[in-house]
Amino acid sequence: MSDLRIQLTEASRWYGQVIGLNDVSCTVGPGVTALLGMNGAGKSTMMRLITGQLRPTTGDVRVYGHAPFANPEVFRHLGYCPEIDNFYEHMTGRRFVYHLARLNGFDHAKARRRADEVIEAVGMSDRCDRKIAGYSKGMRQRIKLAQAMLNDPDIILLDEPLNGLDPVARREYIDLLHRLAESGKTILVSSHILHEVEQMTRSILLLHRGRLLASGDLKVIRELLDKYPHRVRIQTDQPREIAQELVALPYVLSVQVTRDGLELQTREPSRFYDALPVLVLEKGLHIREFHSPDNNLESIFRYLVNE
Amino acid sequence: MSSSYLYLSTLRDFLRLKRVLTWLAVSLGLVLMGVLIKRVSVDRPVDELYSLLSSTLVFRLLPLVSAIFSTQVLSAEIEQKTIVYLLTRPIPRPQLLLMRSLASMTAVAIISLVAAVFVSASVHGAGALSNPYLYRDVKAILIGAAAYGSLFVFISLLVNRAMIVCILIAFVWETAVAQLPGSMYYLSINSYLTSIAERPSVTQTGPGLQFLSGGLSENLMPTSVAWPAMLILVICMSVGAMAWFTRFEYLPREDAE
Repeated sequence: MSDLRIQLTEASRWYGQVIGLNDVSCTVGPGVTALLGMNGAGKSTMMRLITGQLRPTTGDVRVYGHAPFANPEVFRHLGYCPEIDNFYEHMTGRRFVYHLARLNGFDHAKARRRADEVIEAVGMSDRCDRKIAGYSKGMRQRIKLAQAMLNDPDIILLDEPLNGLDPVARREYIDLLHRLAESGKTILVSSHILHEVEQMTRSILLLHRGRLLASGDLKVIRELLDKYPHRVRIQTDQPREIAQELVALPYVLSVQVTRDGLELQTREPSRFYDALPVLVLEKGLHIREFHSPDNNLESIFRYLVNE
Repeated sequence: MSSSYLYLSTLRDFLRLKRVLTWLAVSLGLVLMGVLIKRVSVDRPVDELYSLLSSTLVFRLLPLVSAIFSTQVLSAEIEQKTIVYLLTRPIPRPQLLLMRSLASMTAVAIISLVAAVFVSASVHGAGALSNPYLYRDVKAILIGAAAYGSLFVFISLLVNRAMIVCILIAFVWETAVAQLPGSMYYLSINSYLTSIAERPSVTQTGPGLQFLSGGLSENLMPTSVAWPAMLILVICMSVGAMAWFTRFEYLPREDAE
């Protein structure tokens, strides 16, 4: 099977006069890819197009070369964890997962075995015999993920999966996603919480108002944005001495002394990061810490949407 | 394999203890009404009394139960948004709809048959099961469950708040249209079921009961017309619903707005 498991070609989706997704072309292969965007950016529309709940108004959506809309062949390779928090509340978690396993075509014995396996994988073995109506948000998220893993799918789509999880559960959830990705699965995770995405992957698709603003590696995307200077904050007791050395570098645009050090702007962050240790050693300068506020997704997102 | 599981799990869901107890209570209410009507109709022959009770109670209950259950086939899943779990399983959509519809029709038929037996018991006592008209009603209930079920499932796919529309059809349309002058009675499923049941005609009842039992109209079509008409209705509605559902796009209501 092709590594290009999900492919959108000039895909658009309109809801009457409102556009949900606008002329999006992209491919998604193995590993974790984050689908980023604010509320209303088109993330759920894209998820629904890939999971065959909706058809594109124009353009094309393919999963393993097949149009996914109402296509059972596609659903054999695909697990979907929807954003909705709705379940058959009268069922226990185990019964819910077993029920969906049977609908996946498993016989009774295999459905029971598989349900037990995925429930254990998401860490719900000790709580799965309680009714879903009494579950916390985190438990509900885990059960949703369990049902998405039932058919051991090559592709797993997770729509805002970290909503409602506590920090420990988030860490465990992210670790689980990494394990799945390492086993060769294609995982597409939608989120609007940027720092969470940073912990999951560097591969992103950035949506804004239905358009794909950027796709690829987070670092590469940042480097492409060379019209925006890259900021670096240095904490030091010798801000003036260091500033004097830094302004002499041709790729440093500006240096500003701050309360606990200095902040500079550069158009070539890679060259700057190569030069800084050399400078420190040669001149005997003392630096406590340095970091870039532009190295996170939030800043890239702000730049791209021009806000 | 998933077909039979889908059918049985849906049927089990429709016949959950809470629901069964509710409908048993309704059926016992029908028995009580039957006993009361029997007491005030001492001169009426038992077959005619059964016919009156069956058409007034059982064949009013049938479309009501069908309206409630048929709208649960999909629209309840859509309202609760759990439809997404069904649509993303490797099950062809026509199969999904058909199996769930069949389960709904089976549940409706079981509840209506129990009600018919209870009504027969209220008239014939211990000899309820030897009532020959009960067996004629069984035929009408089975085809009626399929006819109402396929119609209501189709409607539930087309309109929002389908249960209100279906209950209006079950009560208002089905009671009134069959008794309108001219050929309007051809537009009521109950007219066809009355023909299939071949019940004895009821005489000398109050206008209220006569209206509810459909006795205001003398219109009765031949059984040879009623059977094929019902079968055609079931097939057309089922095929139409499956064709529509194959192209159905799921979008939560708040997103659509």
